[in-house]
Amino acid sequence: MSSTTRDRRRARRYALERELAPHVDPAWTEAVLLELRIQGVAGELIGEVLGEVDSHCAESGEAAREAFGDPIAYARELGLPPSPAQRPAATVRGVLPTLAQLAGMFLTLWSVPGLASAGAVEITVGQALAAVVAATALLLFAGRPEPVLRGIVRRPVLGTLAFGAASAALVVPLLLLQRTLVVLPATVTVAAGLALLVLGVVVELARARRPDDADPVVAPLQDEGAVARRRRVDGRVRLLGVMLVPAWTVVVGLLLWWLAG
Amino acid sequence: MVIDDAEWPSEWLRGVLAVCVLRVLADGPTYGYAIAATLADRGLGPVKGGTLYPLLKRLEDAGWVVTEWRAGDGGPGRKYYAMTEAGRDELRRSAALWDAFATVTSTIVADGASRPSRTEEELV
Repeated sequence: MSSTTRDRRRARRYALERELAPHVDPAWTEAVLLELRIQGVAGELIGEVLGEVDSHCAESGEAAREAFGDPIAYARELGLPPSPAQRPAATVRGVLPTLAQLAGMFLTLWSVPGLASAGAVEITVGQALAAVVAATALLLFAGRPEPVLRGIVRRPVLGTLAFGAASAALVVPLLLLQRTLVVLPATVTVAAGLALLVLGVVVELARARRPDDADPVVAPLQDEGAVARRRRVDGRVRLLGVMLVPAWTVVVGLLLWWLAG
Repeated sequence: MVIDDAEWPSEWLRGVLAVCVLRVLADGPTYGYAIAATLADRGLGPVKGGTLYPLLKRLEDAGWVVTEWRAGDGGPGRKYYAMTEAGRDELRRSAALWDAFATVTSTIVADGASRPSRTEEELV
């Protein structure tokens, strides 16, 4: 990789950090920002913390690590309160539409071969168990994300491997428990799957319309125009995210239909 | 003996920083770096940002200071700290307590720097 590509990538990676604290080493800023986010501190407060560090370093000419020490220790020392927008209940509520979409997607895709052959869909014990375990794990994670997030931030490679191993472990009961739980006509399961998908998308779109949920990290005294611009960009990104699962379902569904036909 | 302010024991500084910061704020609202610079000028030595700002946050949580962001001229904005009525009472209380404490300790330690001491050699 040429040095300019690396520089460009580094510039993109630290864009937010440089914007919020131009006089501070962006890696230091990123560490503080991540730690405060993991603690669930409100975006506005995070912006204030970074603004104050930036102001101090700009005037004293000191480096952040020299004046403030270890970034994670500093973030902890401040003892900032978690924001209600980031409370477990709010996060779990936020995750539910995605869960519904994912469940809908799997149900729909599983039903496509059955639909193509005008047959029935067999739901095994393994599938039902895997669904329950996956949903529970996701809800638990949404409720208490800090330990997992800290683990992944501190040890990205190990964290990702562990996550992959846990996902693989989910597949084992899926494959072993082959006993049929229930047999449903494919039209029923497809209808249920699509209903879940649509429900999830509708709820998420309704939420995306309310920008207050976003809680972006903004610099203090930032003018209304910049905040509005940041909200618009975040909104666009969120809208794209909402359409991901339905789009994926359509693409894979069509593929499966074509393969089965 | 030359007193070099970089040599104050950190445990002493930790105990006295809050009342010193309150005293600086009694002269009028100001921002973090200015407080650190004032304390350094008055001989307390360099105060690290990592120590000062969490302390200011604790003073705010206790209700002794309030904060306000002001736009800087050309530079980044600054967070100004101003003392409250409760803060004024706390300063009066702490400063009086410190005076008494300093008097007591000075009496105990009096002429310890110059007086000859009886050391362990005399135990033998």
